[in-house]
Amino acid sequence: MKLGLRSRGSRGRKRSIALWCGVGLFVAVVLLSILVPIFSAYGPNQLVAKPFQAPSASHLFGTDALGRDLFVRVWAGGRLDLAIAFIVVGISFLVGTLIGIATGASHRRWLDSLVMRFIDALIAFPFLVLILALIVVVGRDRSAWVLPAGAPAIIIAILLIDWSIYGRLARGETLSLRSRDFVTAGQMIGYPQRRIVSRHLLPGVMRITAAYAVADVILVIVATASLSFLGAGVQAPTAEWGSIMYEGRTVLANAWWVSVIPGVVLAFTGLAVGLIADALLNVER
Amino acid sequence: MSSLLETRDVTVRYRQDGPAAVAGASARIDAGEALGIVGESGSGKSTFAKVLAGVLAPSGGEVQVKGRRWQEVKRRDPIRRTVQMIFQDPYGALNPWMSARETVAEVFRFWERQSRAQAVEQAEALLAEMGLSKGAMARRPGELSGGQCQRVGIARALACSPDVLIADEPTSALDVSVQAQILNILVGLRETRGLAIVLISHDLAVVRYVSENALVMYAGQVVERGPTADLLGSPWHPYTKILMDAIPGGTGDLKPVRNEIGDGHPCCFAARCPRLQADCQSLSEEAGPREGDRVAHCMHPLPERSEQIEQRAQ
Repeated sequence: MKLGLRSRGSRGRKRSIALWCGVGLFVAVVLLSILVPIFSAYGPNQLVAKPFQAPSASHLFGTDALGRDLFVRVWAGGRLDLAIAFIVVGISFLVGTLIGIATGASHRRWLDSLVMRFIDALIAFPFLVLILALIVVVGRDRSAWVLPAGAPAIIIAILLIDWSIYGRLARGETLSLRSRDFVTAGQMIGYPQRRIVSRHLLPGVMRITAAYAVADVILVIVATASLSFLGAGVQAPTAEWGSIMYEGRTVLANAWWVSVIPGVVLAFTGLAVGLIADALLNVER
Repeated sequence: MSSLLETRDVTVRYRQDGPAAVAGASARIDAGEALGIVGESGSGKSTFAKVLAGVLAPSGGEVQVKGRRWQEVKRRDPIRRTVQMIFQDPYGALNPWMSARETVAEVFRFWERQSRAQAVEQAEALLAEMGLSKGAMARRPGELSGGQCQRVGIARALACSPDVLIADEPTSALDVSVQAQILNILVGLRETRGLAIVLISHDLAVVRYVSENALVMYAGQVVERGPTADLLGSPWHPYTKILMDAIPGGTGDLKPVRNEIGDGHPCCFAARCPRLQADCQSLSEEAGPREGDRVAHCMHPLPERSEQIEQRAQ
C-alpha cells in the first residue's frame, strides 16, 4: 500500500516537474520572440556584419549569407511562427469544438452525417498537398493587416483543414458523454438541450480539445516552417524559421549555424509544447 | 388511491426489426406505493424503468403520468419533475465537473428560479439531510465515495420534489456496508415524504425489504405480480421459483435469459420451463391464476397453486 502511494506520488512529482520545465521553456521562447526584435540594436533584415560569421559574443547565433544577425532573425521568425500558430489554433479550437459538439449533440442524424462525411473527406486528403493547393488558390504573395506576404495564405490554408480535427474530437467526446447517466438525469430534470450542452457536455469536451490544442501549436509551427522551407510559405526577406533554414541548406558544411540554430530552437519549442501537452493529457486520465 | 404512473402493454424495440426488450408489460404505481421489479440480467427491467421515467419512448403501448401520456409531456413541463430516477452507477450519474453542492443547487436555480445564494442554501440543507458533511458538499464526484455519490444523486432527485422515485439497482455498485444506508434512506423518504418508489433489482432480499408489491420480469414480459411477501413466499410462476432457488445457497440452477419471443410459443418461458405441457400453446393474456392483485402468467402454476385453484373451482 505504502509502495503504491509512494510510486503514485513520485509519478505525480515527475509529471509536475515535466510540466513546469515545458512551461518555463515555452515562456522563454515566447518572451525572447517578443522582446529581442523590440530591444535589439538592429532589425531582422538589416545588414550588420560580414556574411557567414560564426556564432560569437557580438553575434550570438552568427550571421547569414547577407550579413544579417541571426539572433535577431531567429527570434523575429519565432514571433511570426508563434503568431500564426496562435491564430490558427485559437480559431480552429473554437470553430471545431463548436461544430463538433453541435453535430454530436444534435438529434438530426442527417446533419451529423453531412458534417462528418465532409470532415472525413478533408482528413482523407494528404495534409501538405491540400494546403499547398489552398495556398495557390489564396495567393502566396498576399499580405494582410500586420501579417507579411505569404502569412495570410498559410493561416487560411491550415485553418481550412485544422478545424476538422477539433470537430472530429469534439463530436466523438460529445457522443460518448451524452450516453452517460448524468445527461439522462439532466433530461429527466427537464433541462433544455441548450443547458445540457453548455453546462454538462461542453466542459468535458473542451478538456479534450484544449489538450489537443496545446499539442497542435507545435504541429502548426512545423507546418508553417515546412511550407516556408518548400518555398510556399512566408516570402523573403521576412524572417521565419523555415525560410531561414531554407537559406542555409546549401552552406550546411561551411556555415552550419544558419540552418541548425533555427532548427534547434524549433525543436526546443516542440519539446516544451510536448511536455505541456503530455502533462495535460495525464491530468485528463 | 390515484394512479401516478401507469403503463399498458408497453413494448420496446431498440431496432425496428429486432427483438423486443420489453414485450407487452403493464404496471401501475399509486401514490406512496413501493413497487419492486425483479428479474435476471437481460430481462428488460432497466429498459422498462427508462420507459416509466419518460426517457425512452416505447415502440408500442402507452405510458401515463398523472393521467397524461408521457410522449406528450414537453421537456420543460413541470410534470416532468414528478418522476425522478436514481442510477446504478453512482459516479456516472453525476456531472464529473460539478461539485455535489452545484449539482443540487442547479435544480433549484432552474425550477425555482432562485438566486445562487438561495439555491446553494437549499442544496446544502438537502445534502445535509442525506448525511453529507460540509466538506463533502464542495467535492466533485471523483473525490467522493460511491455511497456519497448515491446520496448526492438522491438529493438531486429530491430537489425536483418528485412523487415517484425510480431506483435502478441503486445498491448493486456499492459496498455492502453502504447498501443498507441507501436502502434506509429510500424507506425513510417513503415514510416522511410519501414518495412512491419503484425499485429495480436482481436482489430479492432488497426488494423484499423496500417494496410491498413486486413484478417479476422474464424476457421483457411480466410473468408474475403481486404483494412481495406472497410472491416471494409462495411463487406461482415456475420462473419466480427458479429465480428464488438461484439465491446463493439455494438449490436452483439459473441459466441466462435467452430471447424466446418470436419463436412461435405464446409462453416466453417455454424453452426453460420444467412444467411445460402441450396445452401451454393455448396460453393467452387472461390465462393463469389471479387472486386480488396477484397474477401469474402461466397455464401450470406451482402445485400448491393448482390445488388451490381446484379447491376454489369445487
